[in-house]
Amino acid sequence: MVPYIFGFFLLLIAFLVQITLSSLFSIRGVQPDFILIVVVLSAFIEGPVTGALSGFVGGLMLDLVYIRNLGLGALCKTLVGYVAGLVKQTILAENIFLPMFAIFLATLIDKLILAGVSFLIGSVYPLKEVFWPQIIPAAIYNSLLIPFIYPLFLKLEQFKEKLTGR
Amino acid sequence: MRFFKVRRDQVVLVALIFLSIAILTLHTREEKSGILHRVQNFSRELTHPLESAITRIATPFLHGWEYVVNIGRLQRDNQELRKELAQAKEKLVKLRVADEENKQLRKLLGLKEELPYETLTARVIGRIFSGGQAVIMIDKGVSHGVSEGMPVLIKEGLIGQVVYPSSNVSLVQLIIDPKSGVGVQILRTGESGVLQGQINGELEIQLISKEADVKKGDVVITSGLGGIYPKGIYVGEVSEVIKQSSGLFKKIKVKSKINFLRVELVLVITNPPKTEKFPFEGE
Repeated sequence: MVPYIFGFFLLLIAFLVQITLSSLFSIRGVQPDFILIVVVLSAFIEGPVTGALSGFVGGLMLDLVYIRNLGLGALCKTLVGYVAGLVKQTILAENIFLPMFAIFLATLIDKLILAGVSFLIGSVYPLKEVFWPQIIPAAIYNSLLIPFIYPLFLKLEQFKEKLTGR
Repeated sequence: MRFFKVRRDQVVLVALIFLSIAILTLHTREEKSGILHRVQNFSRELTHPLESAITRIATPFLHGWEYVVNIGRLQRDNQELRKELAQAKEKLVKLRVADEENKQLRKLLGLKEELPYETLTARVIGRIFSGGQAVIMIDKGVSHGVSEGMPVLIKEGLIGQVVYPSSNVSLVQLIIDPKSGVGVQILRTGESGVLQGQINGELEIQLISKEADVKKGDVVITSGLGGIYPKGIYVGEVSEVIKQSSGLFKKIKVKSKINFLRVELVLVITNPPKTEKFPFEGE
């Protein structure tokens, strides 16, 4: 139970940072996606199920406050979290570039799924207009934050292991 | 075992996807007053005060962060703005100088047309007001047709005469120089005398008889005597008449309209008419 509470606590912090302080980190209107970062890093450490669960909860949290269809973000981030967990199981590389690259891809996949599902439910997502000026810079931005966040995550993981006695 | 684990993972994934799609479908299909919409609105209302509070707390840090992020740009902007300001100031000074020069040129042009002599416009490039002399240097010399003894004037009146012309520049002795002597007369009465500069920079008419009719405010012009200055050039106005108890002459102080320290452009009369010498001067 402790890992789930711990994961939820991390997502809650990421959510609060995302809705309150993301403008602090805004560079030319591009903001990082802290929920996505937590989802992908959780998936990397814990595997696809934790990734999918984190994605679902984190996405739903954002859906609750963003002006968009409820469940849309949950669906996107569930898929992204699951895929990120699978990537970690498949590739055994341990250097920092793997999570960086994974976050880059995850950002792209997240937005592509968002655009696809929005299209299916009849909503408008201007993918063409925002792809180069918003999505690509956001993907790079998210990747560049990984060298700072990933070591923190590993330390928290160690702390969590001490708590659970694993 | 691995097979079951993979199956369990997939089941969880499918369940979550199904749940997401279910929520999405219900939310899309329900009315705006539906339960999911109300939950969404409630969440927004719940997070709004938190968002405001954290934003309020974070604002000073936000400004600090913006300052840190933008410090390079701000410094660049600051430097550029300072540079632009300096350039604008320089431009303004140049414009003022040009404007002043333009005014002086217009005056000189007017004077040039009024005068029945050939004239040459010259720029003042130096001033010597020390050692008991009052001299200016102009940027025209022999090569421009300037020669010794040529009168120099501006619209406001007589300046002096060329004393040392060299190839490209000339020294002009001002009428306020103590060694200068200009034949002048009182316009109203025709009384003649010699205007001399004083060591304190004032002008004084000497050699005017004690009985001569001279009043304060009388206009003083060149008399044409002395062999240098043509007759009729404005010199100034009588500012004070001092009657001396002894001696044969009055002391008359004259005020010129010219600020000799600020003269920038002058006219040199290059073909002054031949004038009579002072009666007391030798050949």
